[in-house]
Amino acid sequence: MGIVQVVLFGIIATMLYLIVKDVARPFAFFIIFVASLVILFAVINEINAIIQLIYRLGQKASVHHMYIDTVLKIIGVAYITELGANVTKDAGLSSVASKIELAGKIFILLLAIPIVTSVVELILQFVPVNGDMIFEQR
Amino acid sequence: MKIIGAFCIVFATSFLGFDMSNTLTNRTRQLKQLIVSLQMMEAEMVYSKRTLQQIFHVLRSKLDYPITDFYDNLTKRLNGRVTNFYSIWSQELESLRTISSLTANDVEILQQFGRTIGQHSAHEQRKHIQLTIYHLQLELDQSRDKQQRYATMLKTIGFLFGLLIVILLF
Amino acid sequence: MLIDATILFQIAGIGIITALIHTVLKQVGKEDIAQFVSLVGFIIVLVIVIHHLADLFQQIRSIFLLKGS
Repeated sequence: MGIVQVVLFGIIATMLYLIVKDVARPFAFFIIFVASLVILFAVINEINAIIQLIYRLGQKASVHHMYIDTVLKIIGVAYITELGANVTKDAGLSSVASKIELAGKIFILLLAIPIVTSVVELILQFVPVNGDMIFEQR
Repeated sequence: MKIIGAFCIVFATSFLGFDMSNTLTNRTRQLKQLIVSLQMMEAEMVYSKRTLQQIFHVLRSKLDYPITDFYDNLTKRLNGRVTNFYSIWSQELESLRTISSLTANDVEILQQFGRTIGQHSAHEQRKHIQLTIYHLQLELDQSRDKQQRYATMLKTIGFLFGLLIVILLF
Repeated sequence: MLIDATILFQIAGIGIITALIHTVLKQVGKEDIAQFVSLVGFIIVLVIVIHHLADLFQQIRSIFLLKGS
């Protein structure tokens, strides 16, 4: 069972952290860091199957694969940003963590630009603002 | 298999640490013995007035391993024809240095002392012996200080480094 | 899925042992060497961690199609 393993792993990491914390501070931090890395690694491997599922569903609904790609990229960026922000926060540098989060948000917006523009264009098609166009369409 | 290898590594580095700490301990002991031997030599020279060979023979029976070898070899070499005592003395000192834990500094003090043997009257010889004993005493104090500080440290560090290597390789 | 806690124990072990060596060396007054040992232990752990981090990022990139950027 995957979940049992992950939880046990987390508990072991916590115990080791408590033991090492008093002896050697930086190494304790590294233990937590590696624990989060390994757990994420385990989860990432599972995520692959879910992504395949999303792809297949999208193909069946004949969604353009660009949209799915963008969503996946955004999820990936969010993952990496979250990891980096959490690690820096654990190390006690919350200001750097907030900067990393900001960068992540901006990159997500950047990735979303094509979708946003296409949505805006779609809306403009539905809601014509130009008087000529209204006339023409009638 | 892995565990056997791990034990081997820990054993080897621990042994290294023990060996290094033993060198420190042995040096203190050997310096002490040298001082004792010089004091006995002084007594023999000044009061019993024996020959060097007889003195060395007496010393040989009263000391422990590395130092007794030194005097033993000297006794043997004095059996034959001797033209230059100092060259014998310095040669034997060289071989003593290889089998004992003494440093080059300690041996140098004894070399200096060897140059004076048999060159002076009993009274002056006694002064030289006392000077040598004084120098060796200084070395002994230093050695004892070093031993107290580093002997246990070397043992612990040897063991810990072995453990570290094992963990790294695991 | 293969999670093994070996790496955690490895890092914890390295940490504890370097800390011990540091303490022992400091007690006998070899502070510079003690600092050096701590630094070396730290770097070793850093190398291990960065190795794993690179693995993880590679995985994320290949799964979430972030090949280019």
